[in-house]
Amino acid sequence: MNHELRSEEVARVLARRADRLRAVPLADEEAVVWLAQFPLADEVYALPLESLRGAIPLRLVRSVPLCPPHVIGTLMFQGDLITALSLASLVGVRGWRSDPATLLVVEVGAAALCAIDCEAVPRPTTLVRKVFEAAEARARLEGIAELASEARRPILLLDLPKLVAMAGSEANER
Amino acid sequence: MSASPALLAVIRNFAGEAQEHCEKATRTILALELGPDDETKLHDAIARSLHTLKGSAGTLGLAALSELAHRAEDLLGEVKRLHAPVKGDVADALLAAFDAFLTGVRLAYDTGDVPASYSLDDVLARLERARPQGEGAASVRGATQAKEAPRAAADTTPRLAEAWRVDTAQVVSLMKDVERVRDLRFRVDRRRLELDEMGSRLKAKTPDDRSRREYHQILSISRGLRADAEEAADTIASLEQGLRSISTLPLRTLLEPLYRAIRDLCRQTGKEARLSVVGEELTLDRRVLDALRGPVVQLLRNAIAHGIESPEMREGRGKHREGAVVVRAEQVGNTLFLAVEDDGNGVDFDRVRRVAIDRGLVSADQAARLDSPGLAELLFRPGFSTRPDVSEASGRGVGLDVVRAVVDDLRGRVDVESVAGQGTRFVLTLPIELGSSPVLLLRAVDQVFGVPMLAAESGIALREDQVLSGRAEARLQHGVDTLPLRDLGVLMGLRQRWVWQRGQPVVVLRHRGERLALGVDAVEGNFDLVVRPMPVEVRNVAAYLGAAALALGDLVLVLNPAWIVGRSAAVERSTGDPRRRALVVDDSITARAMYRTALESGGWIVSTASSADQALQLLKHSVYDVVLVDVALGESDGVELTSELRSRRETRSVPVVLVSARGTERDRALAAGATLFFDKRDCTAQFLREQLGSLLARGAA
Repeated sequence: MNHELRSEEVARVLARRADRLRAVPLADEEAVVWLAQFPLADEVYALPLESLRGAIPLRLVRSVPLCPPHVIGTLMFQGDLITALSLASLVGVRGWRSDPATLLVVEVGAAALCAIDCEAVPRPTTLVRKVFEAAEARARLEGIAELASEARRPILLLDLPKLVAMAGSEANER
Repeated sequence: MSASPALLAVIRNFAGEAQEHCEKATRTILALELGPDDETKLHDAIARSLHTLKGSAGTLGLAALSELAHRAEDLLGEVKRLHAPVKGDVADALLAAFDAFLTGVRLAYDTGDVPASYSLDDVLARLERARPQGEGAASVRGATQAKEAPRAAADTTPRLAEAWRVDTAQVVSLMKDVERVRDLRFRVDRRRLELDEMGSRLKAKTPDDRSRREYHQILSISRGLRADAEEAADTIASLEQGLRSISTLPLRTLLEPLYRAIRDLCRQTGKEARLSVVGEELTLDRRVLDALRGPVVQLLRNAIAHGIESPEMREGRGKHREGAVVVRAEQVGNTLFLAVEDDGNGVDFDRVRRVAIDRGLVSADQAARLDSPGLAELLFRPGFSTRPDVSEASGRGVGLDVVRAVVDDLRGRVDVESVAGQGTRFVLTLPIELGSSPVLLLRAVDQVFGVPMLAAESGIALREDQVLSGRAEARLQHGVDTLPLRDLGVLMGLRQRWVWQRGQPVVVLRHRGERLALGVDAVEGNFDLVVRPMPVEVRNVAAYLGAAALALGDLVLVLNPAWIVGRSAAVERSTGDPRRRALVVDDSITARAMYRTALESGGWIVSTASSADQALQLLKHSVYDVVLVDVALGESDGVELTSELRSRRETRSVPVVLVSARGTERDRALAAGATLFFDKRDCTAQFLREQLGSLLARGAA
């Protein structure tokens, strides 16, 4: 008898708990953003996963003489010519473990695409939206912003249009 | 208040139909002006157009336009009844009515109605004034209305569309999809080749029964892939053909409205001229046709305003009083030659020279040295005009520079030929298909570049006696001319300097009257390629017009002839630049980019090579302060390259820095004669600049 009572009681508690969870909507603070995370030398960088359009091999790139050094070359992607950019050249050359051999095709706004090189295919991860949005605003100004996370190494969020604009200005000055 | 979406859609459909009717009626009126035998038939054709337009406009609630068409019908009815000719004021009034109708329909495009501000009073008054005077005109009008009422009721039933109207953006999007499928097919071809290669390796490695069976299976898959790729190619070709037929129109659609343009210009200027057209059956990409409309009209304006003399002057010169203007179109391969010629005054080049000096465009000395092509170039300068007065037809100097700009955008060329007193001929040379151009492929070092065939004047094999070495630059003796002589490899920064070789291919390029001789390593042939603009991040690099995909999807960069021809000799001089020079030898394109970024930010000039062989070639003709070499060089070895450099007299003492991701290579590198060894993980920009800077400082000391 006691055993049955306990089972019923447990069932009621669980049912009430389930009702409570169903009733409470996911708070804004708990909403997450999916990121694509990838290494370059000793750093870890990230881009919003929704901005990735593909990962393609490097051998499709045609080098473009007389271009600034941050431009690796150009390639055809789904019928359009896009630019392949050296990520290390955009964020600062800090040594590397292995020559980057993968290109990530990224949307950089208004259906415009470009490709950046990386040492390995990215892996997906999530981040609380509020934290992401705060970092995104900083990245828009400076090109890179550190994401507060629990990972051992800091993750650096990239704003590619800003980085490309900064690299372009430097190249023009030279 | 905006009309319903359904009504707007119907009005937009009607706009296309109205345009066809108005254009057809315009052609018919121009034909009637010539006094043909089948006048009645032509009258009836115009009347049918007016009737349809009247009915449709009425149905759509465009009452003002319906009334306009009705009044034009009245005028036409009177003209027919009184056997009056359709000429002069009558023709002007009818043409104005059709123009006004079309304008009104276009204004109704967005809102569903003709705006109240759009007044038809002038054109209605013109129709009234043009009525021929004859008895019973007023009574006939009422009778005409009564007779037509039953027909009008029947004819206002909307016609079913005989063709589908397709949005341009949708067709362009389809064309892009076809190009993507073509790229996909190239990738399939590449995979098949890789599969073949793998199969051959498998067969060579272990020649047992099992591997032979597997090899044959792979071969079979490869054959299947090839068949699929060929079928895909056929399907793509068929799709492209279908799209081409949608996206092209006969040249006639561009040229027919020109008869009206000539007629109106002659009415304005009091001149007489007849337009003839040759080659109107050629088909062109619609976008090319649309782009050419403005330039061709401008050239015709010029022909009437500047070229054709007044009838009296022509008779005084022994010419027919009516001038001849000819538009001639001819296709050769994928190139269109469109000539606009007249038998008028011709260009007075002495006057052009004087005006250019007076306006400060050239100095007297420069003007004296200009030949005919150079003088003709002045005509295309913005604001240039030899007319002292400005009229509606000409004089503002706004026209020919716009012609040049449009033709340049289409990757074409415009040339002028003229004989004083006899006439002038403008020739537009253009690719038939938008984006598809004949391109000449040229090799320099290990890279292939394209130049538009239209810029390539001729090709020769260099003789030693043709090269004239000057202080500033080399020059080529080419016939009676001497031309600047440049090496494509040096121009593109692929090598520092070049020693001219007997038999070396040289291509003479021409751009806007200037010429240059371009030495290359090889001419690879000419191809019709779709040249796409460079992506936005590199669009400001003046050297390139764009890039095009070859078979199997390899990209070739197409060079800008203006940049090549205009390149200053001082920029290519390799001596005299005090900056330090580094040669980076690494098979990884991404690693080369990082080295360039690190060193160029420190003021270095960086050349790159992707293999040991390429590095040795560069070192034959160029001098470097340091050579950085990756140990793992793909099929070659950086340590072996270092040993080779140390064994050659000319490179024995050049500092060589070996770089590797594996620290274990250090001893081997130094034993081979490397000056320094770096681990890639240490190669920050600052590290590289400091280390190389110290290296050179030690060497100098």
